[in-house]
This record gives sequence, C-alpha cells and structure tokens, in this order.
Amino acid sequence: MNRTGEHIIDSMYRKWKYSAVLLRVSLSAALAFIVFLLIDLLYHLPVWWALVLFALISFIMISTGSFRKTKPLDISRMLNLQYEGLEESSQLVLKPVENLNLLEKIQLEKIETELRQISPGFLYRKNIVYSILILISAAIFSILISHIPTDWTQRKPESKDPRSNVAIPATTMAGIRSANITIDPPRYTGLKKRSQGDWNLRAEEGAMVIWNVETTAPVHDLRLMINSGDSVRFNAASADSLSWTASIKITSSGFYQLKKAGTETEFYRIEMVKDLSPSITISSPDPHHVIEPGRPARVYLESMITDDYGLSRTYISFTVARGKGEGVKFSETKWPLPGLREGQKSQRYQNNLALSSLGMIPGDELYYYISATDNNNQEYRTDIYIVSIPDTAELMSMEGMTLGVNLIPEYFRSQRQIILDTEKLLREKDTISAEAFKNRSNNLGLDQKLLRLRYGKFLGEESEDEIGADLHDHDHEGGHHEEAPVIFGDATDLMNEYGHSHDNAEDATFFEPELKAQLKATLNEMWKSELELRTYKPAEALPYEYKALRLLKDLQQKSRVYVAKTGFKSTPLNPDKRLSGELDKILQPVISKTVQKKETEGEILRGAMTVISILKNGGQISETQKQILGKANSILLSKAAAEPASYLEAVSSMKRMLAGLQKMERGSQTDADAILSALQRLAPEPEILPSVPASGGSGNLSDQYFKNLKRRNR
Amino acid sequence: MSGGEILLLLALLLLWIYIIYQEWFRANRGRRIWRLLAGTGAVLSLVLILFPIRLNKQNSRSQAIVLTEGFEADSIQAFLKQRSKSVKLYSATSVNSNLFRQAVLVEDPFLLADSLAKYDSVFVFGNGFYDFELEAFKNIPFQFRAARAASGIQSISWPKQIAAGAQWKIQGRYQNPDSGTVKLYLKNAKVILDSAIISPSAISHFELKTIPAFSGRGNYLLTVQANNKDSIDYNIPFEIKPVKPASVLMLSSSPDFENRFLKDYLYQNGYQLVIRTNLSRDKFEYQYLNIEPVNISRINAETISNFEVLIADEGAIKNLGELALRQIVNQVQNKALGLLIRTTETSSAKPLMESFTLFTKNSGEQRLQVQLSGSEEKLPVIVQEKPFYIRGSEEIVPLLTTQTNEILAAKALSGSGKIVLTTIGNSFQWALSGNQKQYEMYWSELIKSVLPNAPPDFQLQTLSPLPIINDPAEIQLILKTDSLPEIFAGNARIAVQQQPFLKNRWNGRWWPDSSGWNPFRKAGTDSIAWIYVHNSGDWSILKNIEKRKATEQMQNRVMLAGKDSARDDIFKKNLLAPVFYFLLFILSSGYLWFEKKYFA
Repeated sequence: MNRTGEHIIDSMYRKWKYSAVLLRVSLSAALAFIVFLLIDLLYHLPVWWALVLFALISFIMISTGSFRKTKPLDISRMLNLQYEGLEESSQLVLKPVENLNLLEKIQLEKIETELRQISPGFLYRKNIVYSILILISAAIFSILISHIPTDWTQRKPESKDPRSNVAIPATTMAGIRSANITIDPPRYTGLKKRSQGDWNLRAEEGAMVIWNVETTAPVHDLRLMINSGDSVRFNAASADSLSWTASIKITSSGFYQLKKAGTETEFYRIEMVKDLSPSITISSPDPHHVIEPGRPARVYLESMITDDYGLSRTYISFTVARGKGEGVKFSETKWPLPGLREGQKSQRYQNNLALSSLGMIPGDELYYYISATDNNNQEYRTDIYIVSIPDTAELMSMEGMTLGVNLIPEYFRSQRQIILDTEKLLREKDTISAEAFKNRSNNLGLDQKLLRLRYGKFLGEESEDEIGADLHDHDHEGGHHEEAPVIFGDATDLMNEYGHSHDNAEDATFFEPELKAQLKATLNEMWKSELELRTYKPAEALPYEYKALRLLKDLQQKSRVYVAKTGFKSTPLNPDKRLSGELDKILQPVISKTVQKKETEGEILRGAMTVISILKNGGQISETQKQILGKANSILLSKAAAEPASYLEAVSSMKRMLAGLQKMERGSQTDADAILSALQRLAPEPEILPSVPASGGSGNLSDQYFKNLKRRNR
Repeated sequence: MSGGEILLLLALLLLWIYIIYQEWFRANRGRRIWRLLAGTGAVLSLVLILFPIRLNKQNSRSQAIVLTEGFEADSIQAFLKQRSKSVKLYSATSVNSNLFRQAVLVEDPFLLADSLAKYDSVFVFGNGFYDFELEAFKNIPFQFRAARAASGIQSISWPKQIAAGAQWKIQGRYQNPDSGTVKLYLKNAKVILDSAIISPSAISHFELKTIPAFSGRGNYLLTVQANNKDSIDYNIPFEIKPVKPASVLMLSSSPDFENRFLKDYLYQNGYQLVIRTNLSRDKFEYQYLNIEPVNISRINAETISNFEVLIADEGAIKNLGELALRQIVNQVQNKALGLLIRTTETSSAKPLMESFTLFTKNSGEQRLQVQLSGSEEKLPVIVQEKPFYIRGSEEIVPLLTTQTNEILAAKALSGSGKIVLTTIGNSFQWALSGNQKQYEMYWSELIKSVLPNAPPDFQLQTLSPLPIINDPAEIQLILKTDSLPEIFAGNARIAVQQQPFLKNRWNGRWWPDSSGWNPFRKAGTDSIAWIYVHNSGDWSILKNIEKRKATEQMQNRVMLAGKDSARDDIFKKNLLAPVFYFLLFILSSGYLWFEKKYFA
C-alpha cells in the first residue's frame, strides 16, 4: 500500500518518456519528409528512401536524446516545484520505506493523498502539442515545396534547334520488305562500321554508304535519286531480283529519294559531318614580344592543339632573322612537338625556351609558328609570332639624333649618359667602398629625376621646383641647376613661389595625344629607374633605363613620320579668278544609262511567301504567281541540298503543294506553314529605300494650309 | 471596399479589442458587463458613422430588360430579385438558358426599339449594340448594365499597308489577370519573329516589330501563350507596297565621293536620276540614269518640275543665280518639290536655308556617334574634320543627332514642300567601311523626309479597324481628284459619300460576306485594293469592347437629353440619420467616462 505513491510517479515518468519519444519521432518524421521532398526535387527518388531517412533520423534522435538522463526523481522534483501541496517532499515516495524516519513516514502518508489528486497532464501535454505542431508545419512546408515551379529544377530549352523539330517520318515505300543501311566511316575518323534501319543518314565526310534493300516482289529497276538530280542504280544482289544493293561516297550534305518503277518515296536527308581542321591556341607569349635589355633571354611558350578526330603531326618552326637592311640572314629550324601519339585528339605544349639555344644574340628577331596536321591530312598553322631582343648598341648609337628634327636634343644624351654611368658603376662595384657605391647610385637617381622633370614640362606637368624650395639641396648635388636671380619687390615672383600657376603659355603643348601617351610612358619608366637607383639597386634600374631610352628613340622617330591625311579636302575653286582660260573647245561629257534589274533570289522568295500566304487564306492565285512558286521551289531544292535538316520538310511540302495546284487544289495548312517557315528563314530583308509612307496623302485642303505656311510670322 | 477603408476598419477593430481588454482586466470588476457593452457601442457607432447602413427603395414604373449578347444570368437574377414588380424581358440575341425562356426575341434593333418605347425605364444587359444598331435607340432612354470586361488583348493596332523595307510594328494593350506571365509571339507560320512578355496580374502595353519579308499581301500570326493554357492565334494581315522610285535631280559644284556613292545607291535601285556636276567654268558633266535625257543646262521652273527631289550642295546653289534660285523656292513652296542641301559651311544661302542656323564649337577631328531620330539603332561612328551643327529651333525637326543631342541633319517645312539640310559630307565612309545598311538607312531617312506626300491614284482604307464578316465596315477612299468614283467590292457597287472638307476622300459602308482578302476595284482603272476580312469568331474581345463603348456613349447621350426616366429606379436610402449614430457614440463613451470617474 505504501507503494501507491511510487506507482503514481512511475506512471507519470513513463507517460512523460513516451511523450518525449513521440516528440522526437514526429520531429524525425517531419525532417525526413522535408529532406526527402527537397532531394526529390533535384533527383527523383523512390519512396522507400523516405522510410530509410525516417528510420535513420529517428534512431539518431532517440539514441542521443537528453531525455534518457531524466529519472523518476527528476519527475518528483518537478512535481514539487509545480504543486505547493506536496510540501517539497514527493521524493519520499521513491525512498525505500525501511529508510524513512518517523517524520518522513508521517509526511509520506500526507502527500500520497495529495499525489493521487494531481493531474499529471502538464508533464506531457507540451510534448504532444509540439509533435502535432511540427507535423502540421511539415505538411504546410511540403505543400509550399510542391508549388515550386518545376522549371526551377528542369529548365526546358525554350527554342529548340530548328533541325531537331523537323521530323521526317522514316516510312518506307510500299513494296519494300526491309532495308539495311551500312555506313562505313573513312579511316581518319577511327570509327567503326555501323548499320541502321532509318533512311535518314548522318555520315562523316568521305564515308561509304551501302543500301541493302529487299523488295516484296521482283522489280526490274530501283534507283536512288540524289538531290533530285543524279541517280544511282541499285545492283541486284540475288538472282530473283528481290534484294538490291547500292552504294555512294558521301561528299556533301543533301537528300535522296528511292525511285521504283516510276514511283518515288518522300525525301530522306543526308547530313554530312565535316572534318574540322586542327585548332591551335597560343596562350603565351603575346604576338609581339620584346625582351627588354637586362632581362633574361628566355621566353615561355604555351599552346594547346586540338582536333576532332586525331592529330598526326605537330611541329613548331623557328626562324631567326639577323642583320639589317640588305644584309638580313634567316635561319630556320623545325622541332616536332614532343609527346604526340598518333591519333591523339589534343596536345599541350609548354616550354621555357632559352633563346640562346637558337643562337640568338641581341639585335636578332625570332619568328615562329606552330603547325598541326590531322589524320585527314588537313594542316593548320598559326599566325607568325615575333620575339625580339633589341640591340643595346644600336640603341646607344648617336646616328638618329644628328639627323633631322631634334625634338629635345640636350636631354637625350642624359638618359644615355645615365645608362653608361650605371653600367660603369656596376663594373666598378667590387673595387669601390660600399659608401661610395651608394653615393654614386643616389646621384644617378637624382640625375634621373631631373631628367624626368624636364621631360615632364613637355607634358605640361607641374615641375616640382615651383611648389616648394625643397629641391634646392638636391640641385647642389646634381649641379645641373642654375638659380635665377631674385628680384626683390617683384610680386609676381613671390606669387609664383607660393602660388600654383596653370594656363602657362609655355606649358601648352602641341603634341598629338598619342605622342603624349608615349611621353608619359617614358616618364613612368624613368620613375621606376629612379626608384631603383635611389634604393642603391642600379642593376635593377638598368632595364627601366633602357626601356626609357628605347621609348625616347621611338618618339624621336615618330616626329619625322609624315603621312598625308586621306580625307583631304581642298578649298573650292573660285571660278571668277581661276579657270579663266579658253574653254570653248572643251566638250561637256554626257553619260546616259539605265539599270537592268534582275530578279533577285530575295524577290522570288518574298513573292513566293505572299503567294503561299494567299493560298493559305483561301485566295486564288494567277498563272504568274504559280511561276513564282516554281522558281522558289528550285531555290528551296538547292538550299535543301546544302542543309537537308532545315529545309527538306519544306521541299516535300512544296512538292505536294505544286502537285495539288495542278489539280486545282489548295494544299494543306501544314504544308503551307512548312513552306512559309522555310521561306521566312531564307528570305533576306528587303533593301531599305526612301519612299513616302504607304498610307496617307493630303488633299486640297491641306495644300492650302501648307501654302499659307510659307507666310511665316516673324 | 478600398484599401483605406479596410485599414480604417482594422484600426477600429484594434480599438475595440483594446477597450474590451482594458475593461475586462480592470482591477475593479464592478459593472463589467455594462462597461463592455458601452465600449462595444462606442466603437460600433463609429463604424456606423463611417459606413452607414443603406436600404434599397424602388420607384413604381413599368420596366423592361433587354438581353444582348454576353449577358450574365446571375446579374440579371440579382436585378430581378431586388424588384417586386414583374419586369418584361426582351432579348436581342437567342437565349439558350431555360431561366429566361419567357424573353421575347427581337433581333432587329429598330423593331426592338419600337417595342421598348412604351416602358418607363429600359435596362440593357450584356455587351450592348454596335454603333450602327444604336441609331435605333436615339429616342429610347435606357440604362446600360455592361457585361464584365474579358481579359486578353484590350486593344491592338498595326499599319495595314507599309512600304517594302520599312519597319512594321504591332502595338497594343493586354490584360493578364492570372498569376503567371503571358507570352506574345509574332510569328510567320512557325518562325518566331519577335516576342513580348506580359507580367502577371497587370495591364501592359506591348510592341512587336519586324521588317516583313513579304512582297504584297501577307499574314503574320500573333500567338498568345498563357501558362498552362492552349495558345490562341490571331491573324494579322497587312500589305507591303512596292517602293515607287522617285525622280531626283542632283546638282553638284564639283565631283566628289559623296555624290558618287549616293548616285550608285539610287541608280542601282531604279531611281530616275539627272546629275549635273560642275567641272570647270560653265562646263558641266551630265548624267541621265534610268531616264531619257532632257536639257538641264538652264535650271528653271520647267526643267525642275519633272523632279520630285532636288539634291544639291551649297556651292551648286550659290552658283545658280538669282532667277533660278527664286524658281526653285517657288517650286518648293507651291509644288512640294523636296529639297535636300548638303553644306559644310556656316554661311546660309537665303531664302532656302533661312530656317537653319549653323554653328561650330570644336575644331579638329571629331569622332561622332550619331543616331537617326526615331530609330533606336546607332549608326557607326563618323569622323568629321570640323563638324557643323544646326541650332535647334521650333521650325526644324532633327533627323540626325549626336549622342549629346547636337543636330547634324534637320528638316524644315517651306510652303507645301520640305527642305532637309545635312552637314555630313562624308557619309560614304559608312558604305566604304562595310556598313551599307546603315548608309542606306541614313539616306533613306533624308530623302524620305523631303519626298512629296502626294495622294495616290486610288487608295482604300477601313475606318473600322477590324472588319469582320457579316458586320458592316466603314471604308474610306482616297483619290487624286475630287470626282465621284465608282467603286466595286466584288460585283457589288458601294455607295460613297464625299467628306465635306477633304474633298478627295469618300466614305462608305460595306457589308463583307466572305472572309479573307476582298478585292476592290475602281471603275476605269486596273488597280485593285485589298481589304482583309476576319472570321466572325476572331477578335470578339475587341468587338465587345467596341460595342460596350458605343452603347455607353449612347446611354450618356440620352441622359444628357434630359430624360428623367433614364435615371435609376432603385435608389439608396439611409436607414437612420447619422446623428443617431453620433448620439449612440456620445452615450456609450459618456457612460464609460462617467462610470470611471464616479463609481470606480
């Protein structure tokens, strides 16, 4: 009897535990359901996957759930908290009776009656409500998911390739029991022989196609009509004239029919897959690569060669050009690209080429290209790429400077001098003290700076000596600058010193924008050179110095070039003053001609479109309009021979339409639509010509109005 | 109920909840039920002040209902339910429903109007009547209860005739009530030429365009593809008119490339050209292309009257002399000669160029990005040595502008003629750089702008936008002369009436009896004009819109005529004067205040 309290707590505990398990099971069901739906949107899954998911998730949930740690004692604590009547002693019922003291026994008696009156619903009600809520929200969520448009996951292609929707039924004609078409691809493709029952063909260029046809009854003549022109006769393969064979070599796309004793089948298409020539992409270096003096004479070559069926031979050809003017010598070498296996479809070529291995010295130019030949003996070669090593000796020569216009003579020498001094400094590096080395490097940097500032003036840049006086110290070191005499009391000088003058007439330059851009690039190189010199790295500065010099020389050359403008317009002659000679004997030319307008293809196609449209709308057409259809038909036939997949359907429809017209029939709407679609794709846009709008035209009233317009109110 | 009203109601609801909450949970619980009642009363009175209750009252007059095509049975039943007395039913269309079997069918609108004349008030349900039928109801006051507007294409228009090579546009409005988008396709048979997308639940404008490849009559399809619905095809007929090559006189002060390229372009396309190029003093080169040689050594009224367009550079105009110039001006202003002047100078020759003021602002080579006005396509960049611009004014219409809206070519009216001035002297560079199409666009636009807009020999157009089989169509004839034409549709002669002011236009009514292209012939000529007639089911939405509009207009006209009986027989009356609601509000809120102050 004493145990009733314990029973009550135990049953509460069990109920609570079941509710907790229920909560986790429903949570896992919801999770499994949603996860399954989401995955199902992307990849369609069988339903049992949902059960597996559910089992998996619920196992994880229940086995790792914290509710397992809860014991009946915790329930009693919970009850203590909730009900004041238990007087914080419901845990007594869980203790063995033997261990209770008198006071506890009395208390036990008291609370057991209390316990019986407790409704333990609050313990598990929350769990159950939560489970239901979770299941409901899972259901709502799943409804939302199912409303996600399917095209989110499966985008259907909006516009299909016109080829794919041209469906040509591959029905055979009556009297033919079976047909087997064998396509034997040419050797270069490396493909195997294949056969098919479909009359529409897709074959590689140069493939042999063999038709094996069995007829139901003996026939005496069976032909292939190719592109409605050539015909190929079938050879009897058996004595009973029941099986026939014919073969052709595919050299172009087109269409064909089977002709048997005067009856023809519909058109079947022949699509030829052309062999593409190899393609080569050179990703490094640039088409024109210049190795700056001072840089290592190496060039990194990288290219990718691909072909559709296989490559047979690839090589790179180098031509080194040396010398100038008439004394140029060429030497050519060809290297096969390493690692090509016969029939390989793509090849990558990478090489860090040392130009010295080709015997190149400064002043030489290297021309190279890559060539590839495929299995079908088609060759493709790239454009010629150029790598050049400029000759520093030539760069230093004084030749160009003594001739013609000298843009800025005195400073050219300076850049040259800086290079010479830098090289001298590098040579003497080992023999002088580190202090002296740094000092001289710094001095060179200053020279470079002065030079840069002087050139900057040509660009209208503000020279630094106007802004502040900080340059004065360096000037003494550089020793280039002469200070202007200062006039006391001259306000302009004072203003110049602290002000900031723009629009100086002297600064306004008269260079072409292109020239300016190059001058800017030169200054940039000078900047970099100065930076390296000032940080005591003359070796690093050298390439920049050379580049600056080269750009300067280019600039100098440019100023000499003169090209007359093409759109030159002379001033009109004044006949009163000029051309006053005797002109009586001069005849006046008269030209008279009339254009012979030929009917173009576009006009025929556009005219045919109108005729078909009239027929489609139930109108009558005239004899001339019928002739237009005939002309359009021959254009269609030639187009279909080139592109059977696009126009063969229209050719068949046109054939039916023309045959129907002979019998005074109008032809079906589908045929008309097929022809119209083909004509719309073929017909070019009409020429744009000036013309008044097709509608409108004013009458007398508006004439009066416009005539009065000329009296304008001023 | 509008959004504002709903917001107001919601606010009142919140107020009510707040009051109830406050009164319920008040510490002092005395008289709780009374307080709740008073709070509810206060809010309710506010609601009633804003939305007073109204009741229907009815006049005692004789009434009739006319059912027209498209009526909604339940709206008529609801109408009848409101009325205690019996209402006579007529129908102008055959009624299938058993509900209205008692309706008297009178198809002829005039007979129907006779029968309706005796009623005090007449109600017309459905889509109403056509314009021409409504003439019968001029003296019958009626009220129109229009059927609900159907969704779909609400309006549409496209040019029925265009010149070859011109762009063709179809524009309209589409109402899409669904939650999915609607796609409109312009198709020739199966080939899609253009498409537009109508956003969900909206009325949107759409525009589809193409350069038609037909020569002559043609049809496109307008396909409406709504989500999960079958597509609907509409037939769009039009006619492409061949371009009539104009006759052009070109005067040039010296041989140059611009004229040479222009000459080739026009000559190849069959334009009649006479070119006079100044080679030396009083020495000219004459070219007669596609035309018999005529003497144009002297430019006078007689020689230039043979041409529709005169193209000249400014130098050539200066060399013409006073007399010739005056005659050109006369031809332009009185005979609608088109004048196209090329200039590369700022000085303007009077009086031909007085509408244009030229200026320049930046010398040196300019790369100009130009655009023809009215076209979205940009022309290729053109390099000008020293571009001259035309100052914008009220008198000119820009034709060619730069990106910064400076005008390079413009048109001005002069009497009945037009003058175009262009400052571009090297448009041949477009043709040279392979942009022949853009070159043609440029010159077509310029020449088109000066071509005289002369009335054709015989032109026919429909005033009703969509002629439908067995429905009358209003047609209009445009002729060169004012004499009475004899016009036949098939074999039936059509009676036409001259327009009072535009005397070369004649209107008539035609009852098409077959769909498709219908030929029209004018006596004494071979030329045939074509009009496309749609099937009876086509464009029913638009027809109904038209009918509803016409019927509404007629109803309003009758209303304006002051017929009292046209007014509604059912009128609304307030149940109580608003002051009573206000009284309730004062009492309720007064109680709440009083109770709190003295009893609580």
